[in-house]
Amino acid sequence: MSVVKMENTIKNYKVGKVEVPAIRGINLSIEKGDFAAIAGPSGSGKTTMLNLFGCLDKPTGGKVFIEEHDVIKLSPDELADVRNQHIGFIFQSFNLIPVLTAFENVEFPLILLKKDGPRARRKKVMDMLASVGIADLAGRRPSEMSGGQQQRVAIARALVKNPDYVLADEPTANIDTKTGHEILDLMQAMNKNLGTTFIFSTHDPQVMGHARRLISIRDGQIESDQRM
Amino acid sequence: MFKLALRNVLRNKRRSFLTGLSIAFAVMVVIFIWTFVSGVVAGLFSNYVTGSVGHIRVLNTDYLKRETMLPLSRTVPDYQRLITTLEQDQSVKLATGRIKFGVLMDIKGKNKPMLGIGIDPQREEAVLGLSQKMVSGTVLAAGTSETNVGAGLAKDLGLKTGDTLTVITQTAHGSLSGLNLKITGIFSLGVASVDNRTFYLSLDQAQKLLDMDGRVTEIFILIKNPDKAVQVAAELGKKLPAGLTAVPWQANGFLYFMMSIMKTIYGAIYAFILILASFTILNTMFMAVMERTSEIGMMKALGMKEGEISRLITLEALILGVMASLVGAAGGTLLAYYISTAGIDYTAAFEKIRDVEIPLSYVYKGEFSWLTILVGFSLGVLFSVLASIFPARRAAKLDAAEAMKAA
Repeated sequence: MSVVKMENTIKNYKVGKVEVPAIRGINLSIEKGDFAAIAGPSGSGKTTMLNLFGCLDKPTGGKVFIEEHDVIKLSPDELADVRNQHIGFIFQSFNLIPVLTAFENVEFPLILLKKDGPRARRKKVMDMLASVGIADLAGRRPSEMSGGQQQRVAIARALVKNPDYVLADEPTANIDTKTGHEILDLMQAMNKNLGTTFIFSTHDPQVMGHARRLISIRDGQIESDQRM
Repeated sequence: MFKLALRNVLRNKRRSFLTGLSIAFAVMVVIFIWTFVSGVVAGLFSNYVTGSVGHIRVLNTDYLKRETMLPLSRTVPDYQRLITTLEQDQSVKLATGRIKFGVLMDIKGKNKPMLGIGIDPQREEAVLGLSQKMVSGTVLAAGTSETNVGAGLAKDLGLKTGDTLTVITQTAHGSLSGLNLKITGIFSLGVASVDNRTFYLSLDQAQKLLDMDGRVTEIFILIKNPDKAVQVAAELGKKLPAGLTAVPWQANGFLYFMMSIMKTIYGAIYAFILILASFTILNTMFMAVMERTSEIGMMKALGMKEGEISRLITLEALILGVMASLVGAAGGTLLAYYISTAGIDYTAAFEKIRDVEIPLSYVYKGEFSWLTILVGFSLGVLFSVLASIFPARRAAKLDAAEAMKAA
């Protein structure tokens, strides 16, 4: 079952008066439970693909379906709703809100969802912090945590609302190798235990080594798509 | 959302403090000036009412045309009956007869014009409040040849309580008449144009001096709502016999103009001060949005909508505006209280313009009002929120993907 699908998707960017193609006619379907890495050199179109998967951008041509929604037809608020309800994000620079504690950062997406009351939110957040191994850091602000701890908080934030899939853009780029391993192991465990779909963008061989599906992209086109 | 907004305000404490300081200062200045100007305007109005025009006056129509000449031949007859009729109107608080007449004094070779006013001392207590304004001695009694002299006039003539003031003037028929008045008291109404040239005597003595039995030059009226003087004057006018007219205070073009122009000018000044201060909030919010571009992009990526982003920025401005305006209102309250009790003393300055007929007080006090403080506070908050509109919109319209690239 596909969670996100591209059909002949094209994305061009305007640079001055010139149109630069970033994605040139990609057909790709990410299945539920995939642990997929999108790999390629800088400028290959990885980030563009992730932006399209994440409803942060719309294609210039073709279609992108997220849970059967054709994103090209959606308004900015509807796209925000799709991101809110279906997609989790893990960023390269963690991107935690610095004035909120770990608990409050993880709670943030649940507040935007407006589904749960304070008690239910508290339980979900603490359970998720425990599952990423940092329940004891709930009251700390990002400035009081290491890079690895912050990335764990980011993972918890991405997963707390039980999204259909999680997009991770170079998730280990700003942490040391050992911690990077731990983070990847954690995400693999989440994938296995919760069945959450993960889509990475990376040019790190260590990350590629963890993937069960490796999608190589170059010059805006898929070079190869292998299941490991 | 509130917790996040509050913490964002406290994120850069120094910047928020400086921004808040400018709003607080503006609110404080607005409250202070508003209090002072309200007091000046109220004083101007009160002085003019007390000294000259009342809320409404009933005059002979011909007298009105030549009022500066104080023509005693153009009078209000049968005034006692008229007063009874006028006081039956629900809008009228008090009506009392007055006679105004001019006297020319010779002081050390210089001619000095004086104004004598015949009054009913008991009724006039509600208007002039003479018993509270005596510098020395007591208020004149009705039916006696007693007089109260303005402090400035007494000083010019070298008069004191117990002295005799001999008044010689022309009667309503043009003949000469004179009266010896005993000075029982010296007053200061705090209005230069009154204190420097006015003396009061009993109405019946003025009628006797001027040969004006049963007549007065005007009926001086106070009404319950001075703002409605034009409408009330129109109503009262219908009850008057031919030849008499009811004149509201607004007919005095000079006073009305001064009060209106002061309100307009000062209203513009308040707005200018607050707009200037709100530019600091505008600048601060723009800087905050710029610094948090990546963070705002991330929040949008997580699903925060444009309206929610906009509301967050506006909420931050609101929190800052409320905190700053509270401080400004507190400071403004202290200043307003001070200026309303101590006032500013212009006595020395007014010595140089003793004969000017503008009803200026010696001491200017503010008019303390909790409403002024509430309005000042509210304007501070309002302008803070308005200043956040553009930065909030800017934040809401940020492209999430582009914003997250910003370091």
